[in-house]
Amino acid sequence: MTARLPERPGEVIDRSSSLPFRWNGGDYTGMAGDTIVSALAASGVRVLSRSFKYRRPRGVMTADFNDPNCLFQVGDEPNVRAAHRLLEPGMDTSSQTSWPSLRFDAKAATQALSPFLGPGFYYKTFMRPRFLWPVYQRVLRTFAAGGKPSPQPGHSSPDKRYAHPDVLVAGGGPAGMMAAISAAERGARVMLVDEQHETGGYLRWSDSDGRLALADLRTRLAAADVEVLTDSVVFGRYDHNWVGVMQRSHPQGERLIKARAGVLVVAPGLIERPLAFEGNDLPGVVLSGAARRLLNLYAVRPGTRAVVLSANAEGAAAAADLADAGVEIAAFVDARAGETVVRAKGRTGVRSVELTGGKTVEADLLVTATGWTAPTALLNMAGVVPTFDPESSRFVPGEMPDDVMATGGIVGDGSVADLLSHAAAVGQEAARRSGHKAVHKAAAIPAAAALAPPSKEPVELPTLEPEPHPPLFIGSTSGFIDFSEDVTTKDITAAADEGYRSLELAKRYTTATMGPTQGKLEVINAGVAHAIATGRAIAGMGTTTWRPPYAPVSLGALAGRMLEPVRHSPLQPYHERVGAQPIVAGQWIRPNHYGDPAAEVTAVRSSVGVIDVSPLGKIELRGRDVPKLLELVYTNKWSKLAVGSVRYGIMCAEDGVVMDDGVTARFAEDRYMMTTTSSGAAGVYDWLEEWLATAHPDWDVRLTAMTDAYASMNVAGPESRALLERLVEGIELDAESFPHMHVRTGTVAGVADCFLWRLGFTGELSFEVHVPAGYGLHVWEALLEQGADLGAVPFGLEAQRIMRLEKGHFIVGQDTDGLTRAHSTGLSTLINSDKPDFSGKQELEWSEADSGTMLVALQPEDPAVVPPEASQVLSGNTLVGRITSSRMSPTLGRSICLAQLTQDHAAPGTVVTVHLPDRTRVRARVMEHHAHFDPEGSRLRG
Amino acid sequence: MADRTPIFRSPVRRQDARGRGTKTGAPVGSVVVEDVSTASKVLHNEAPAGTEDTVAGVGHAARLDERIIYSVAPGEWLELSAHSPKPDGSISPTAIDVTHARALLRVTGTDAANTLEKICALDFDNRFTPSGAAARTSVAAIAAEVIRLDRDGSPSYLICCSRSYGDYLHGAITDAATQFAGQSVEWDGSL
Repeated sequence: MTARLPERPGEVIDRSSSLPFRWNGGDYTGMAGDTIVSALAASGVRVLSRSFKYRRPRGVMTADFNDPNCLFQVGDEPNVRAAHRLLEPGMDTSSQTSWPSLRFDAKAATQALSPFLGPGFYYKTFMRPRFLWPVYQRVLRTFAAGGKPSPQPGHSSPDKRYAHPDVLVAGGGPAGMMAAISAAERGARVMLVDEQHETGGYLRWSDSDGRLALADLRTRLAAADVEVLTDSVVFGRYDHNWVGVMQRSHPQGERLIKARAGVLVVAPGLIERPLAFEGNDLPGVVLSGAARRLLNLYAVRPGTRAVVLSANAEGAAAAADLADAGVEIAAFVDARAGETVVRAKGRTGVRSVELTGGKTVEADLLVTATGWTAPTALLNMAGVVPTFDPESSRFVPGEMPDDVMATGGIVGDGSVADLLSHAAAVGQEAARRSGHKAVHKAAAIPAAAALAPPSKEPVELPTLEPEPHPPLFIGSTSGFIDFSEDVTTKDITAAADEGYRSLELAKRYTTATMGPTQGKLEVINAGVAHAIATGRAIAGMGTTTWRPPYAPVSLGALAGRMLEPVRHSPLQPYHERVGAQPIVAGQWIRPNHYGDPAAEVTAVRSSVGVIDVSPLGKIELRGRDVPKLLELVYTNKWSKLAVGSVRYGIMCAEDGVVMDDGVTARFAEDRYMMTTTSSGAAGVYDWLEEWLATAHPDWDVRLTAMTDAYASMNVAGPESRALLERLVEGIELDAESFPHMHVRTGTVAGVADCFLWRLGFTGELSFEVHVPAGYGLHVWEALLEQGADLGAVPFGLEAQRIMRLEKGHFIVGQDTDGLTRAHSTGLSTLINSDKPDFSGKQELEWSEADSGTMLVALQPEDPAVVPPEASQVLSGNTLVGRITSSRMSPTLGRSICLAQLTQDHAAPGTVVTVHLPDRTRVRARVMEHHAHFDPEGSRLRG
Repeated sequence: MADRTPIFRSPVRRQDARGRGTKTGAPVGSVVVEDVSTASKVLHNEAPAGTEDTVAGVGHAARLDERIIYSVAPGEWLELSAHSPKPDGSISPTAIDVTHARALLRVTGTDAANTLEKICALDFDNRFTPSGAAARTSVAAIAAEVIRLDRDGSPSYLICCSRSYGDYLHGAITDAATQFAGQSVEWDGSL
C-alpha cells in the first residue's frame, strides 16, 4: 500500500525521477531526493529492523541520521544510516540483526526470557564453567548487532584536507546560517558544516512562514562568501580549536577535514527526546519531528489514524500537518494539561494507545512531542560544563572559552526572528574575535601584510532564554530508554539497586548510551531514571561524558591519504629495469640483490662489483673550527687529519654507547665531508647542530646535509682499479698515488666534481665514487658497460652484508644495541683518552675495565649450521650472549657469525653453545680476530 | 669508452602515483604540476648581492631577473636559476651548489592551493601566504620548502625537498590534483 501523498510544498523529492531499488530481496521504487527509509515508508514498509537484544520489531522513529532503528546493509557497506542516506538507483538494501528473516526472527524468543536477561546478565551467566566459554562465545556472536563488511580490501585512499576558517559554524539551521552570513559579511573566512543534505534545519519541514524565512536565508547565504559543507559533520573539537570535520558529500568519498578554526560557533539546534513508556519502541511510535519530516520533505503519510502526545508547539504543528495530509487525529493528548500516554499496544506495530484514565484509543500511529535534548557534545569537548535547567527540562551551555560560542536552540528558544537576531550577533562577535587572532597570526608571518585590527568592543548579544517545558522523561510504565541497546527503565533501576549509584558506572553496566546513537536520544532519560532510582533530584543528575567522535566516522576516512614517504637513489631506474629484489631500509628502497647474492660475493672477490651506496649519510662541514667539532664527536684523534686523507671513527653518546660510525674526509683546510650510516644520517646531523647551537655557538662551523647531492657507488674487487682507470680523469689511481684511506677529486665518465675515496666495507680493494646525483645513473651505467669484459656486476645489500661479515666489520644497530659502549665493539684503539674531551669520554673511562659484553667473531663447529640472528649463546645452561650477525660465507664455504658475549666468555678459543630455534644446539668457538677472512687486510690495501 | 655526454636526470621519473605520464601541450585542468628539478640551486649563508632589499629575511621570496631567491631559515638563502649555477666557473666561496641535492616542483593554477591543502597544513589564504612568502613545513609527510610566487596572475607554488623524495612527492601532488583534473606537464624552462 503506498503512503506517498500528493505534492506538498517544500518537498525535496523529484517526482519525475523514479529510482528502482531492492529491499530484503524485493523490488521497490522510490524517488530522487528520498532517503532509503522514506522510500520504504512510502511503499508501506513499517518494520525496518529488529532490536539488538530482544529482537523486537522496530520502525521509523526519528527519520534522520540518529534513528536507532534504521541501520541497514547497503551493498557491501554495513551500518548505513538509512534514514539519512539518499536513495540511489539500483541500491541493494537489507535489514541487519534478524534471523532467519525480518518478518520472523527466531531470536525474538528472548523476549520471553527478559526477566532473566537484566543488566549484566552475561557478566554473571557466562563466567562458569570456564571450559564452556568458547561455546558461549559462538552463540553470543550470533546476537551481535551490525551488518557484514566486505571481505575485499577497502576503497582507494580517502581524501583529506587541512582548512583554516576564521569562523567555523557547526550546524546549518537558521541560527547557524545567520551566524555564518553575519560573520562572512564582516570579512571573516567562514566554513558552515551541516549534517543534513540541505541547509535550513527545522525550517525545511515547517510551515509556509518557515519556508519563506528559509528562502531568504539561502539567498543571503549564497551571496555571502561562505564555504558550505552539507551532509558533513563536526565530529570533534580538540585543543586550540582543532576541529574535526567529516565531509560525507565529497565527490571522492568520505573526507576528513582538519580545521584550525579561529572561533567555533556551535549551532546544532536541539534533538527531540522520546518518552519512556511501555511499547514506546513499536513501529508506528514516532517523534513529532519525524512525522513532519516524512510528511513535508518526502510526502509520506506515516499512518492513517494517529494519537498525538504533545507538550510543546511542535506537537501541535505535527498534528496540524497530519490532519492536512488526511491522517485522522484520533486523540490529541495535551501533556501540559497533565494528560499522557500509559502504553502503546501491538505486536508488529501500534494497534492502540492507552491513555491516562484507562482510555484506549485505536490507532496505527503515535506521535510524541515531549521535549528536547541539547546536543552539547562540542561544548563539553571545549571544556564547557552545561547545567541542567529544570524549567526547560534540558541542559543549557555554561561559561565558554573565547574561541567557542553557541547560538540557536542549544542556547534558547524564541521566534525565528529571535533566533536570527541572536545568531547575527554571535556571527559578528565571532568575526571580531577571530579577527584579533588573524591580526596576531599575520604579524607572526614575515611575508604577510599587517591586518587592520577589529574593534576592541565586544558585540552585545541579545538574550535568548530557553522556554519552560514540562518535565517529561519517564512514563508510568517501563519503556525503552536506549533503543540501540534495548535498555529499559527497569534495567536502570535494577542497576541502581545493585549499587551502581554513579551514572557513569551504571551506564557501563547497563550499556545505556553506548550504542550507535551515543546518548543523543537517551542520555537525559537515562540520567533521570537513574536519579529517580537513586533518590536524587532530577536537577542534580549527572551526565555521561561526551567524547569525540560526535557521529560515527569510518576509520579509513580518519586515516586519510596514505602518505608513506619513500626515498629513492638516483640509480633506482637501473635497479628496477634489471629486476633487482628491493628491500625497505628505513624510508629507502634499496636493491637487496640482483638474483644470486652468493654469486655476487664471488664476483666481487674474484673480479669487480659495483654497489649503490647512495643512502650513505653525507654531511659537508665548512669552517676553521671543524677539527674541534670532530674531536668532540668522535672518540679518536682528528686534529691532524691531512688534506686528502680519510679517517674512520665511532661516535658515542654521553653515556659511552655507540651511536654511529663512519668516515670523514678532508678536502681542504676548512672543508670536510663526513659520512654516517644510512639510518643515522638525520640523527647525526641534528646531534652536530645541537652541539654547535647549544655548547659551541662561537665555533666557526657550517653544516650542510649532502646525502642526496651525490650518487654514491662502491667499486670493489681486485679489478676495481683497472675498471676505474678506464673512466677516471685527473686522478692517479695507483696504490702509491692514491693509498688506502685517502680522498681525491676528479672526473668520472665525463662527469666533473666527483670525489673518490679508497675504502670499502667488503674487505676488497675498493673505491667509493661519489657523483653529483643528477649524473649518477650515467656513471653507474658507464661503470657496468666499461667493466663488462672484466666481469663487473652490480651487487646488492645482501652480498655486501656477507662480505662485511667475512671481514668482521660491525653494523651499528645490528651488532650493537642501546647498551653497547665503545670498548665493547673491540675497537678500544679508537678511543683516545689523551684528548681533553669528547662525547662519552668520562663514561668510557669509568667502564673501560668492564663494559659489559664484547663483540667477537664466532665460528660454529658444524660449518653447515648458520644460527639465526638473535640466537641465544649459552655456557652450560647459563645465558652468556647472543648472535648479532650470521651468514653462510660463499668465500669460506662455512657459517660465520658475530656475537655479543659476556667478557668472561669473549677470550679467543672459548667454546660456547648456541641454542637454535629447533631446540638443538651447536658448539661454536670464539675467534682471534673479528675478521673471518683476510684479517691482515692485504687485499684491502692492494 | 663510448663517447657519451653525461645526462642530468631529474629524480622525478615522469609518472604519477597511478602510472600516468607527464603531458605535453596545453593543460586541461585548473592546476598543473611541473618538475623543475633541473633548475640550479645554490645555498648561500648571506644574502646574495643585490637581494638585500628585496628578500627581507626569513619567510620571504622574490623573483629577480631570471632568478628566485628565498629564505626559510636564519643564515640561509637559496638561489634558484634556470641556468647553470656556475656560468663563470665559480660561485661565491660562502655558497654551496645544492642543485643535485634537491628536487624542485611547481604547482600552478586556480586550484593550486586547493591541491596543496590536501597534503600540507599551511594556511594558503592570501592574507597569510601571499605571493612572496616562503616557509619550511611538512608536505605529504616530508620536510619541504613552500615558496609562493605567482605567475601571470595565477597562484604558483614551488616545492623544494630532498632529491631522494622527489619522485614520491611528485606522485603525492599529482594524486592530490586529481580532483581538479590536474596534470603533470613539461617544465617550460622559465622560473
